[in-house]
Amino acid sequence: MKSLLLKQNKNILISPIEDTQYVYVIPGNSTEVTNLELNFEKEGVSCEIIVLGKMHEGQSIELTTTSRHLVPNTSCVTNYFVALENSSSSNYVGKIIIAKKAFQTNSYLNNKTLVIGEGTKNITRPILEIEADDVKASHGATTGRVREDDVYYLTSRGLTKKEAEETIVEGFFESVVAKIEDGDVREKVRSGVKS
Amino acid sequence: MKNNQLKDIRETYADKFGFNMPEVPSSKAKKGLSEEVIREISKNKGEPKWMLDYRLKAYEAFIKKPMPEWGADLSHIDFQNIYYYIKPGDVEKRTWDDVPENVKKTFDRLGVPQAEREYLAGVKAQYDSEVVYSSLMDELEEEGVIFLSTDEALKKYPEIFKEYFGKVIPSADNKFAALNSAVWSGGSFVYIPKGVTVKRPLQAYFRINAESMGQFERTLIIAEEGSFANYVEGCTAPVYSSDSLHAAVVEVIVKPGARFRYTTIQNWSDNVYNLVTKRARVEKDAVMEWVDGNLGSRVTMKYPSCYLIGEGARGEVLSIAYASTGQHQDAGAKMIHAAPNTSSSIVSKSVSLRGGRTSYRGLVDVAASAPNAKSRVECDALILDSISATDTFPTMRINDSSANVEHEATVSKIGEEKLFYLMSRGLTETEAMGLIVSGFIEPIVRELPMEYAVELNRLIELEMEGSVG
Amino acid sequence: MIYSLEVKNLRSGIEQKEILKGVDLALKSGEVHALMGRNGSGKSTLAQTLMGSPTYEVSGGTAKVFGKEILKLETTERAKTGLFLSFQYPSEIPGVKVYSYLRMLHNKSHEDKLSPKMFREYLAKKMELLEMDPTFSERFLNEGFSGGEKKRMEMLQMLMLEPKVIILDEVDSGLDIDAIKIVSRAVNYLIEEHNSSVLLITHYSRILNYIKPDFVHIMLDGKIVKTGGEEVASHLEEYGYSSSELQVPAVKHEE
Repeated sequence: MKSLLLKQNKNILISPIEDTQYVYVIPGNSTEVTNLELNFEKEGVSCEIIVLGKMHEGQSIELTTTSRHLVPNTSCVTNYFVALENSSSSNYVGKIIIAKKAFQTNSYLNNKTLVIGEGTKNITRPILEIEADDVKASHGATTGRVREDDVYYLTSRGLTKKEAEETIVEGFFESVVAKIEDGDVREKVRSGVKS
Repeated sequence: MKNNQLKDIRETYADKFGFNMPEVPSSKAKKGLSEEVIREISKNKGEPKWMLDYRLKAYEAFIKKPMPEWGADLSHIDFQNIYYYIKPGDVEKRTWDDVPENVKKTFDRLGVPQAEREYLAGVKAQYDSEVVYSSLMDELEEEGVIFLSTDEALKKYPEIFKEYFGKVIPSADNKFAALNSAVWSGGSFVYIPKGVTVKRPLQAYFRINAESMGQFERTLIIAEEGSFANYVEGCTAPVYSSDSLHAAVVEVIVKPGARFRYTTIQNWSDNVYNLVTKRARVEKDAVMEWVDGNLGSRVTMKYPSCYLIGEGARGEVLSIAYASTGQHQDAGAKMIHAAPNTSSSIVSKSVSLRGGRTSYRGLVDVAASAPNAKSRVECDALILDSISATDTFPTMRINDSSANVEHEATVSKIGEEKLFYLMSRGLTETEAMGLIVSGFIEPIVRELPMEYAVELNRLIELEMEGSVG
Repeated sequence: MIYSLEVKNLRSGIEQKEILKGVDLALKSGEVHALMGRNGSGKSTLAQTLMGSPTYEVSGGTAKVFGKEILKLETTERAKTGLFLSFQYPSEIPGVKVYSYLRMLHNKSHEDKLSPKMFREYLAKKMELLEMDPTFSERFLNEGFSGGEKKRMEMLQMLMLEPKVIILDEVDSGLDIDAIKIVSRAVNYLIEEHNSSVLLITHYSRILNYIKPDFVHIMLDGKIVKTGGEEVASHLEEYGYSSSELQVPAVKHEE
């Protein structure tokens, strides 16, 4: 798979090509509305969307991702991983649309929100609109805090509470960053979510 | 062949449920809605002035409120072409012997045999707009349980009625709640005193049986502290040609430590608009469970809700939606977490076939004042053919940092390998599909009273016969 | 002579790829035929093709059960001829209770229906034979079953249907010796009581100690390349599939 790091933009419209990972890191100062849309118009295309970011204090993001399957036999995995610091917020709409003739579509959306501060706001709307029958479509969305047990475990090994939390946040992102196949892109993303 | 088979099902079905019973309404109100009609309803019922005022205020709200712009297509509802009140007899019958012969026959076909009464804590059957038969077992009366038609309760228990009526769902909540508040008639009133456990389910049967007639029943339930009860309602409806409207309102108040379950199986004929507002206020450490089965109807829009306003309150919704030709089931649930340590769970299973459409629409809302909320949503959709469709529209609004919210949804068709496996054991394709669909909704069906579960599975078997190939 | 199962020059495969390249087999009532061969030789394809799996397409040949051509029949109809396949990977069917499912199978395959009470007793006996815990009948069909549990559930369904022609597709894989004995007991019961014939597909000769084969066939690259008695299996045990005895061209070892 090729990995493609997308530049910051309000509206990103893509006609995906075979075997590509589209990666987008939400900039640490962004409060923009971002719309990322993949229109599958070529049969047999399979690709992945990876959007991730750490919302700093007071930052808020509005994000919509759409994977629109218009032709048969395409597949897509959408990942949106966000960590929320104090008083930050994320408002996310994740759409999977499968048109009438788009048989044998395989589309999955995975949204994970990790809360690491207080006073956060998180709105998630994963939407499925399915008009064809021979398809697999699903989404999973979870919102949860850093687990106290995990922090305790790491502090018992000598890490400070802050270090422990940072480690957990890194691990949270790593579970999706590790999927990025291009080494250069992976490194850029890694440092992108750390800053 | 397929079409004939389908027709046969319709006929058996009509026969089984006695759809062609002649009606015997003694007086019919005029079609259409106006202030005059509302005054007439209230006068006919001999209501106190506050109720008339309430109705009129709701009517104003109904006129002002726009039609919902989301959800299913409601553009074909013609509010002026509907009866808003029909009264089949003059008085409520107290014993079975007093019930008119043709009404009894209908209930026999609906499956309310005499013998069953022993098992039912009380039978309420709504024929047209008025409750014509109700029985309450002595032991319930002794415990202080009140189970009456809502109209009767207004007369007999005015104080308690006024205290709770319209408090969970304000008359101006939405267009159809406003309509119901203006023209409501019938429905059940249930009061479970403090600490009382009602072991057998309280049952009610509803049906529509007049062309273009609206059914606007109003149900009010109060479960006092530490009480426990289970309410069950089921609907079957006649097949008529013109559109029918069902806009009910159900309010439930679950006091601290109480547990209440409200089970509905609705199987309206496929011309009915079924637009129901159901909401429960769930107090400290109380549990509210909605079990909701939506079959039939042209359009259903129904999202049972729990307002978890007391610490430790819990809400659950189990929902089945089944949409066939010309039907749109837009169903789901809402969980509002407004207090600390509240939890909720929503499980939704939907099946669409022969051009039907199912939509799951849900909301999980965690207020900033509700730390440590937990919520889990699981919705699975099964599509049986290429002309059917399904959507999932969940919203999670989380304004607190300690919430743990999970949502999972899947859409799939019946796997070829499962069909092959069952057919290799001698099942026909129809039987195999029926079995898989029944298995798919089993997690909810097992929560239903036995007779409903059996009927539901039978219905799915019949439905499958037309859907293979 | 009418065979219980007679396969002639059977060819089938997936899309353009032929996997079975002309298979011949003939089973008489009461006979056990072992079919051995390494992974990918076409053993499971044969089983699935005979049962009518939608995955495989027949491109030639015939297959008859008691003289009746089955290749054109729906899977349901094939089952009704008395053919049974124990799946290598049985499907999980959520929400379908084992008890009511088995009762349905029994009622469909028997003229005289048993009352619920009699069926319960009947089922209990069969489960005892398979050393299955009675709570299995309350679980959902294969859902969350371990590999061994699934195999026993296949055997239990087989006992309900009392088929005349049994195809066992690697029924022994993943089973320990005790479990193999139990499975064999069920198969032998049907051979003795119902004169059923068995096509026993297996990778290892271990199970042949408990279900005695009348014939052993070796399959390679979609064809049966050797047929003999038990000695073929013993030979195989000793020398493996690359033995020159099987007239097999030299093959790489890691397969």
